[in-house]
Amino acid sequence: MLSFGLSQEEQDLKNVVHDFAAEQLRPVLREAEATGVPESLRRAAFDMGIGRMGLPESLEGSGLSLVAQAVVQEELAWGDLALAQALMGPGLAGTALAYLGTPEQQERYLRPFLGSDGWKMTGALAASEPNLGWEKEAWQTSFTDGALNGSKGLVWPAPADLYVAVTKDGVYALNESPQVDPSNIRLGLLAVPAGWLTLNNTPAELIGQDIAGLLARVRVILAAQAVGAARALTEYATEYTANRTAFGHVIAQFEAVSFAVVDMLANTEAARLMVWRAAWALDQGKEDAPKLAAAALAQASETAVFCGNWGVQMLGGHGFVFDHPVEKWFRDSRTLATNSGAASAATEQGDLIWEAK
Amino acid sequence: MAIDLELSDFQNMAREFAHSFAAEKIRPRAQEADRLERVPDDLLLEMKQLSDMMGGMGGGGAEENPFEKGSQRERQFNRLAVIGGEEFSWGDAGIMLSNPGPGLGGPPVMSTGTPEQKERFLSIFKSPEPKWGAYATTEPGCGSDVSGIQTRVTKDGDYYIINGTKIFITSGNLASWVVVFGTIDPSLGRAGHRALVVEKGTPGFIQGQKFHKMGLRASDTAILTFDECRVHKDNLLGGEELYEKRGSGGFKVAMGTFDATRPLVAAAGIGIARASFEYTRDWIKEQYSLGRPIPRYTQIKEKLAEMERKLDSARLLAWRAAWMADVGQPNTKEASMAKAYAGKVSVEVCSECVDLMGDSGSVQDHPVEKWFRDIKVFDIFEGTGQINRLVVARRMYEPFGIRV
Repeated sequence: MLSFGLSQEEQDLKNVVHDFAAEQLRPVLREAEATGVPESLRRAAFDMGIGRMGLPESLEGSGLSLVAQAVVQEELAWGDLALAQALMGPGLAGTALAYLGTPEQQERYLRPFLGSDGWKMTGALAASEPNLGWEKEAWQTSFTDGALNGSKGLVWPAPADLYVAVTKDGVYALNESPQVDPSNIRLGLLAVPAGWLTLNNTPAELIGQDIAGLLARVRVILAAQAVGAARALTEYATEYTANRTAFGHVIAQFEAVSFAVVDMLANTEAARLMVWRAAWALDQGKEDAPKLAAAALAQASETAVFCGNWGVQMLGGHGFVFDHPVEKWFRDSRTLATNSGAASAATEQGDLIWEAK
Repeated sequence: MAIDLELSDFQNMAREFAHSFAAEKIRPRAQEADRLERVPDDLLLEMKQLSDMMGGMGGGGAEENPFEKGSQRERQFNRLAVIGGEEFSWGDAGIMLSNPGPGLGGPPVMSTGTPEQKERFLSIFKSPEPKWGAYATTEPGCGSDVSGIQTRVTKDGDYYIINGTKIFITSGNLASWVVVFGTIDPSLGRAGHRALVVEKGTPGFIQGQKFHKMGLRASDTAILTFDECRVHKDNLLGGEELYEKRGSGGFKVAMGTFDATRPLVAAAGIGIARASFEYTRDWIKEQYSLGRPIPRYTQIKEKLAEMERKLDSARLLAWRAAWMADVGQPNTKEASMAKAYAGKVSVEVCSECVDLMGDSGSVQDHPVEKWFRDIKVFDIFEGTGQINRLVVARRMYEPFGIRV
């Protein structure tokens, strides 16, 4: 019946996560970028169950719908995009197992994340390949005789405690750690370690073959994070331009400034609705959900970059320096837009338009 | 409350109904109406019959007054309006704008009129022949800044005398009555504004002059002149007490209308752009399926994907603003946001379509050039893109105590 209101439970969850993001993520975002995520923050996120939101209740998860997960991820990324990615626990590997794995596989791979060392464990989804990116039909990694061979990257987090690799034929959980060549001099998302994986007869187990369904879920989660970054940038630019004075006025009173901030807000809200629609369609099992998810990621990542660019512009020189988080969020957004495979998602959306009818 | 991003069965039915009318009755007459600069009478009659049947979709037989509070069931007037509006506009926006009924004059009468006025001015639409209402604020020297209107309203006993000129009035020549905004004293600002309903044939009310336009040619856009035009105080919208009670009554009437109409105008713009997008997509599929190098496809596909995203996201903003109006949440900011965003992306999409179709995009053999002419005004009327950004900006900076 077309309704855009969150349920009371979703609203409550949003508020709790928002407070967590404001109180725990914002103050340490620079420290995390320079030296990694503080242990205390990892423990706090673990205690809140941040990384388990999408896992089934049998694994102490919240079993949240994708709509609710999108709400949560937006709030976390509003705090800081890189930290939202760093605190996902089993992360997108967990998403893959929750969606595709048998209960037995979920138990075996994810139970360790609930143990006493669970707070420092991470899971990674290895999908894109060097030189091929996210063009999944072209991926060359292959599975034979219970082992994977090929290259994956850029993967983040890497190194990780659990890897799920996607080939063009299936989704596999790795039973041994692959070789990881770290790539930590990067544009952004520096709180998350990243690397190139070499799979050389790496033992692995098939967990499912609905690659399109998995990628759609991954895209919605990453797109929700992009919306969070876009919103953070928009709000920061709004507050800054409401206080900064030039020529005897706060600069928000110049329309060249305020209209740009309005466009940041409008694009952010439009992108959020695209993400919600895709999440909702996946929750409901709608046939067009993969296309909507591809469109949502393309739109949301584009919006985060748009807001990053204009956010820096609105702060002028202050947008360029470490005294404000804006330059960092711009770098993080640009990195997410690339690493998430947003461009391939857009192409896939185009393919689906082309092939329809 | 929960998120639900699917049309209900009823909403779907309304959409399909509107779509088939648009496809079967409106679209085939679009070029003809554009050339004639009016809607052929037989089509008007069919539109009138459809409006009567559909009730709330802009017709005179609306059972559900969208401005009445305390209805038992969840109101969905605004959602139905944006859903149906997109489809009719997909058929042809100029023809849709000519839809018989109170038009943009409806909302102020329904929201502010006394029970007697509602009966008197809205009951005429129950007649079998097509009739129109209109809404007149814009003047030669004042457009988006409604607070600056110069049309003078002077009290004379039980009458008001109106002097001034109104321009760009949709269906103004066709209208049986028009809601006119004037001022009793420009120095009073908004407090001086008065909204009066002036009926066709009132001495001093001069209809008959029309604009020739770039697009939306099927729609009547009038110049209305008021020369010592005397109307009885019973025609003062809301009655005299209303203005004694609240100082800026007239301005609020003018502005309140936009919260309902901006999402609808956004949706109508999306309807045109969607028509253009679909036509271009299908044409490209036919033209390019043989003998073209594959790499050309990728760029075109990505353009199509980008256009689809723009339209889908704009539609969601319009739907959200309409939903807010239905559930009684203040939506001024969201309505303007939807309008500003939809106006911008709809123009972009229609322009891109002309581009993609090359020469075929600019000749009358295809409707794409017409849609490009039609769409531009959607970033102008019901508040220009700039005015709508200003409306949003005011609400964004309000929490900081800043007036922008």
